[in-house]
Amino acid sequence: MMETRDELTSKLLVVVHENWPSTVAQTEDLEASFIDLGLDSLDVSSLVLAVEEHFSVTVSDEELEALNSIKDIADFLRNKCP
Amino acid sequence: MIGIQALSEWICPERVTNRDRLEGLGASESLLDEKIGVMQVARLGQGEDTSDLCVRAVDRVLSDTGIAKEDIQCLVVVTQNPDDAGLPHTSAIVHGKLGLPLSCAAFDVSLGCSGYVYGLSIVKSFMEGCGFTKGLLVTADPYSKVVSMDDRDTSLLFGDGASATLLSDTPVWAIGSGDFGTMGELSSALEVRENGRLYMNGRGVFSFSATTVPDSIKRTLALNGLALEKVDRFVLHQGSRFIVDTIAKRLDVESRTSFCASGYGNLVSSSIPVAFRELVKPQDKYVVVSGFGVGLSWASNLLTRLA
Repeated sequence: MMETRDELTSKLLVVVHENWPSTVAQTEDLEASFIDLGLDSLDVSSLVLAVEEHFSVTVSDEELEALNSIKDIADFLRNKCP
Repeated sequence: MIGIQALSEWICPERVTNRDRLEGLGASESLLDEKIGVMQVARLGQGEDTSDLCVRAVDRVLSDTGIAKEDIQCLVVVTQNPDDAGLPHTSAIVHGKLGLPLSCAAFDVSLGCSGYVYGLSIVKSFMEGCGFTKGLLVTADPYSKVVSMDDRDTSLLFGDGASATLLSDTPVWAIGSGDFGTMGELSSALEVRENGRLYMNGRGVFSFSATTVPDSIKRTLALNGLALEKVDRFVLHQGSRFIVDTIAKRLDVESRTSFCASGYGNLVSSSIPVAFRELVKPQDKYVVVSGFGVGLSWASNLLTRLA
């Protein structure tokens, strides 16, 4: 059965909460850019590694460049995990 | 049995302060404080070369232990930034500068951040195979020779220093069975390129380290029959504050793991012996050492304090 966007986003947010500082991880704005959230490249690398492990996907360096918000990651997972 | 009798270090006294360079490199205070963790990087002095750092470290360990140069039977130097172009091998140059005996075997090992842990097993096995009783494992990899000061990814991270470890038949620390490995298909993640400058894919090295090292440490403990909770100290390669913290968190051993390189930087193959001297307490009996980096390669082992 195809997973709804909300279910997948909920799972993603669990991973976000486990990997980022609470002040950032609890943001309600899923479209906020990582830069606006004050995150650096290592924060993003750390989250993407956790996403790769949790969802059993691989994110190439090229794909990573297009992931600038939590929503971007959710959309990416939608395409990778249909 | 051959094991570790004593360790010493030489960290180059010249320093570059990272906070003064953040704006020019486009780096933030939080990146420096929370991720890199290195406030100053140690730098080679004018006219100094790799062999000079080795000599400084060896002089210290011989002075500390009272061992005569005439008694040293082998000298192994771990470096990927040798004197000049690497020919002759740096260990031969160090041998000459120290005036070690003609009968002393000397060779180099080309490894980066995993080199010290590899070196322990190499020298131990070599000495036991040859019936030697006293040998030196020396690390010195001054990355300032290849780091571009304009490169944010590397110039805030790497420092210059050396270590010397005396291995003998009267050891203080036993060297256990090691876990070693290589992911050669990822070797370009950390390499010196055609322009002679170091390139590092930070994400690639981070992902490799975060996923590989915890498993390597678990395999090491299984090899040596010791439970994770029995380990007193985890001395990890001091790659950056973030990678040390990440590995510690993934192993759930944060209280027994520390980052201690803020005053001098990532010393490559010298980082573990320097951190060992800084972090290991007199009451610590079981110490896990784990190095990881160039290759991409890793090496972990268990050191056990002898009575």
